[in-house]
Amino acid sequence: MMRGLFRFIALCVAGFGFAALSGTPAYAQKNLVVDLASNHVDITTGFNGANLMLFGVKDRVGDVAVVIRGPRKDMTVRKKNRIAGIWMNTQYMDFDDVPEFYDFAISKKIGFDTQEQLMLRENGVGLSTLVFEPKDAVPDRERVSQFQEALIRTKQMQGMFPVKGKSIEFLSDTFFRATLYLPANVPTGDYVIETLLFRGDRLVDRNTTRLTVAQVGLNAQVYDWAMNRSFYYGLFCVVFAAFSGWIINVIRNK
Amino acid sequence: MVLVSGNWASEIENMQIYLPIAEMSVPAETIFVLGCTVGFLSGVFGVGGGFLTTPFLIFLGIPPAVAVGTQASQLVASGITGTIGHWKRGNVDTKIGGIMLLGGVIGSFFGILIFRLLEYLGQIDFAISVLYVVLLGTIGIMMLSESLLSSFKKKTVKSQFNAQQVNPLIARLPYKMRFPRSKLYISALVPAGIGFVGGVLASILGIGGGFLIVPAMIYILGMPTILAAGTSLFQIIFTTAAATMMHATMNHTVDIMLAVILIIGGVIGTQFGVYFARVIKPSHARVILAILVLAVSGRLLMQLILTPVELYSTVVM
Repeated sequence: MMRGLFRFIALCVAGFGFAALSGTPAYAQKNLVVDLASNHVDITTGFNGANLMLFGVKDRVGDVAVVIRGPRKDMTVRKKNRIAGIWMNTQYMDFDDVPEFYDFAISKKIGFDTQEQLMLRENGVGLSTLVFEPKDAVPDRERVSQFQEALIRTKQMQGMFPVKGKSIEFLSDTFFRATLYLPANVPTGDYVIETLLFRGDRLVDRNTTRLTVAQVGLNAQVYDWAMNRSFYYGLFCVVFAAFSGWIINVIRNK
Repeated sequence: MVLVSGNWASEIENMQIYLPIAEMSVPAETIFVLGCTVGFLSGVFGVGGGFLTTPFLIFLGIPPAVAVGTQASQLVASGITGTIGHWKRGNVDTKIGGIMLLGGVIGSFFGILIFRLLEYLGQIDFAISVLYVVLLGTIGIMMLSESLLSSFKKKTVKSQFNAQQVNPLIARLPYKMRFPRSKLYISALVPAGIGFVGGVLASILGIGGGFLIVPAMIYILGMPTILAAGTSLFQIIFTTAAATMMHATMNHTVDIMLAVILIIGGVIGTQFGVYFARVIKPSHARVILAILVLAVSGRLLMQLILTPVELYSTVVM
């Protein structure tokens, strides 16, 4: 993490230095510079969730919001009903392109139904943006909203959606840090992190960073074998099981 | 009893391990304790213990497909462990076992297709629970009543007969074959059919199905009891090996990491089980096994009947 911080500082210094020297408009317009302590989350055998640190510098007055989104997937929400005394899934609703993971952080308290909130919602910040329409048109709006709420609620229970936003810590007037948490069951894939600099209901600047969550080391090897050389993987599993069955027999007869 | 020990273990220390195929983090010591318990059971009773592993893994949040796929490889292990002894004593009829495993392999294939369909329909957990409740409930009650009756009457209930009276319907089936080892002249379709049912059960429930196949071999085929157990285990090895290969290549749902932890636990548990088997009376052991089978069945029945805390569930398609 320290290395990441150093890298970031070096990047800031280089960036600002370059901007100051050349005075290119592209850099002059950058009011917000953001970097992750690490742009990949490695899932090792011992992985049990990870903190994700994001550092940033802003050179304008304003507040900051950070949003992280996991890969989008098609999801099905199912509802159990009692049939002859037994609970079973009887109703379902499909939702397309739902992010598998979503979390956000804001540096200030946002009042409900304010211009600020509307602007943030438009830019995908906050729980109120987590509204997904069912894949197939359902005329019964009551039913749709029940399933929509259930989608959010069950994702919150899985730890994939937040119950409330995190806060952002300012280390100085310009330097900030956001700490987001990825749980142990975090889905693998490409994540997008958006940082917004806003003042009141006006968006000043935005920055997009990418993050990869993937298995590494032995885990990645096993996954690769299982997916791409599945015949040999299966054969290995059978041989391993057969061998251990023999070992257990030896122990038994001892 | 077992469900409690799992929770108890996870409270002591939280050593998480990330399973590469299930793509989730699980408490390693809970899985280990489960492996030990199943090993213990197989040491005491000589059962595979699949009936305990699959529901418990699903209960831990492991996707049913991974639980069953990984369990298939475990059954290869317990099948071999069980067969070696019977083989040495010459209690395996390889001819009838060969016919059965042909049916078993085809059954596994169908089982995997049924599993996929049920998963797609969102009914796999339901189907697994219902099948377990019905199968384990029936077997558990039968075992318990038999054990209790025999302990009262002080005589063995296990009838050592060669069912001479074969059902006339079965006698009329074509493709008759001679099985000299079992002294049978019967249609090959019957053992193949029994194997087929075993294969379907192995693929859907992750169990060897010995508790169902052995009685079927004795009462439907009319095989000698002494040969039925060994032959059943013998064909289970190949049926579950084929099921493992199919789970691995068609569904990619065999998690070797999970299998390794379960097996290490199993090796240790077996040692304790073997020791325990020497000190406990066989009749008592049968009662304990019956109660355990009924407990698992009851736990799953409660899950089906009690109102769930959350009626909704979300899955990635």
